[in-house]
Amino acid sequence: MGQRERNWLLGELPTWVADGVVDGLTAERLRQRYAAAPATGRSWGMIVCGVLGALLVGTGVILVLAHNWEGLSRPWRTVHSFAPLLTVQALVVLGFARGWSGTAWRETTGLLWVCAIGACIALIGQTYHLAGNTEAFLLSWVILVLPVVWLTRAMSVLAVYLALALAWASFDKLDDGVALLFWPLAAAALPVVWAAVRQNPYGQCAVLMLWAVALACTAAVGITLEKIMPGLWMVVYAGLFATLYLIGGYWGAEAPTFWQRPLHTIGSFGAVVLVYLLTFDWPWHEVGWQHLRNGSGFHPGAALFDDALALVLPLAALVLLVTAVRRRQACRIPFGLLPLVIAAGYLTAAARGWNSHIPFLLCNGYLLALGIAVLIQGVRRGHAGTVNAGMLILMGLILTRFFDSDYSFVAKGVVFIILGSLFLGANLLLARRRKEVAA
Amino acid sequence: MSSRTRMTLFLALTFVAQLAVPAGMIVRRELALQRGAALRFHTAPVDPYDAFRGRYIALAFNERSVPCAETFRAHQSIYVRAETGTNGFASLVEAARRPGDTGVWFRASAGYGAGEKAVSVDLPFDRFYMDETSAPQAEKLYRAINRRNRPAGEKRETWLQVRVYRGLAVPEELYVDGRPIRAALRQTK
Repeated sequence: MGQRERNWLLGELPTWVADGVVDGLTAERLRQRYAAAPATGRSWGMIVCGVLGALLVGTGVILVLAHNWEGLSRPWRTVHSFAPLLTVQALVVLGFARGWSGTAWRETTGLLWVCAIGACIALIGQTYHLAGNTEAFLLSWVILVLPVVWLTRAMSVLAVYLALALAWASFDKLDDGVALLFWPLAAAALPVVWAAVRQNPYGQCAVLMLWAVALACTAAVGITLEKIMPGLWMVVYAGLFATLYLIGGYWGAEAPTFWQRPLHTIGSFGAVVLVYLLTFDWPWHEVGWQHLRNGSGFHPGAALFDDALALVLPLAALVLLVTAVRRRQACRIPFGLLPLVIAAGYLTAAARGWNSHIPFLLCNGYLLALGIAVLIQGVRRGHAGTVNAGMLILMGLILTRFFDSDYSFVAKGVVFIILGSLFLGANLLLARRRKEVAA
Repeated sequence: MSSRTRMTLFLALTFVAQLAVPAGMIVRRELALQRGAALRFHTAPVDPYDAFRGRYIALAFNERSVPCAETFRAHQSIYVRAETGTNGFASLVEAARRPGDTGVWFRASAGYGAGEKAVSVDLPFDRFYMDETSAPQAEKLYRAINRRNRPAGEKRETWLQVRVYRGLAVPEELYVDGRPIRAALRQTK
């Protein structure tokens, strides 16, 4: 909570006690809790400034070195290549000896450290005219940055580490590689995320780390799949999004904002986007085991990873769904069913060919049901954001199918008006309900 | 062992690893430059576009297709044997999965277009770094000499001198008409 919000809360307390909203004891507890809490808003301002400063200093040093590069002999170039790295290492030793462990210090030093490692390898590469092997450069960088992630436990270092690992995987894949090493590399950083989550699951550091990990994994699945069996990505992504959504629901659903529920948010948003894509005909063309790909760029051994993901992720989602139902969280069912629906559509398309229309109808029906379910949940909870999300899903689906067809402009116009009125009506109804509850 | 001692140890190990990896890169290349066998490769015209160019000269070579007894897939790591001919320039004579006992072998990778009796090779030296002022001028000079439609009778050439030691090939100098590229650039100014 920022300083402004805290001041507001402390200012409101006497009024709340006078109005009988909270008793004196609770008010005192709240006063103690928020008067003693550190001013995190200011700290994050410092962190952002520190990170930007670190990046500017790091880049500036490299540019100054680069300007004088041609005039330096090879031994001097070597010395200059190591200078930024040695300087940062000295800074780290100084911080360690003096017990500096604040977030701003860790984020700033960590990022400088990452830049210094990259600069060192790149400058040596220039000195010895290393060939343009980008993935070898990135992989060395990623591996050398891993201990920095562990040592600094900094959010920005973790994000850069995952971005570098993703960049390496992309380049490796472009060069017909397998890129599966991304997963052990990502897993190696997880203890840091786990430690942050255990400390405070709704703290900014843990939340940002979870966003970084979830987004990186979402991108990495697409990059590392071998794609020998066309269309298997649908089942894998369905399993991934449902698993993220259900883990987010199981663990951290109490967070007050969608921003503080990264797994839940990415899982639900990804699920809607995926099903929306699959309501079209084109993704179902030539999928399944009858259209297996081969050639020098495909590695049959690595395809086992695709098969494993297509099995493990939907199964994990299913187990989590059963757990959610047992905990009487029926609201998780609509999104939890995603892998089953997509797997059914995929098997049908693979067995009968895309012109069977069953997958197409299945996904359209499922997205319609999902939109209605989200809408109902929003109305029941009196949550305008969820109602609007449900309305958006329904509007998106109806309008897309409508534009696919050959109806006249008048008919399209009427549908626009009806949908717009429904949208406004639902929000009006919700606002009126809130007023009634408040009264 | 206390947590502070463990932390100190881990920090020390990290520092050593972070310094050892680049230091290892330097040592291997310095050894190649000091002790390696010298090979000269004639350069060839380059592709006209490279998005990352600017601080180095992109190099291309006439020597690309190498006879071999086995088949390779694209990007596979291979070893290539080079021999210096009577004209003083190297040619690639053989490619194999492992280096042979005799001759100068260096590590490269198989390119696309690999066949059964010859393999297209991606050489491990495709760029020559210079600073941001010299690199564009040097590249202009390099491209002028290496252009495809040169006037008949024009006898200008560029080559790259490479040192090979224990399978590692390290570019040493780029020559233009017999002079190192920096000297050639100074003369054209």
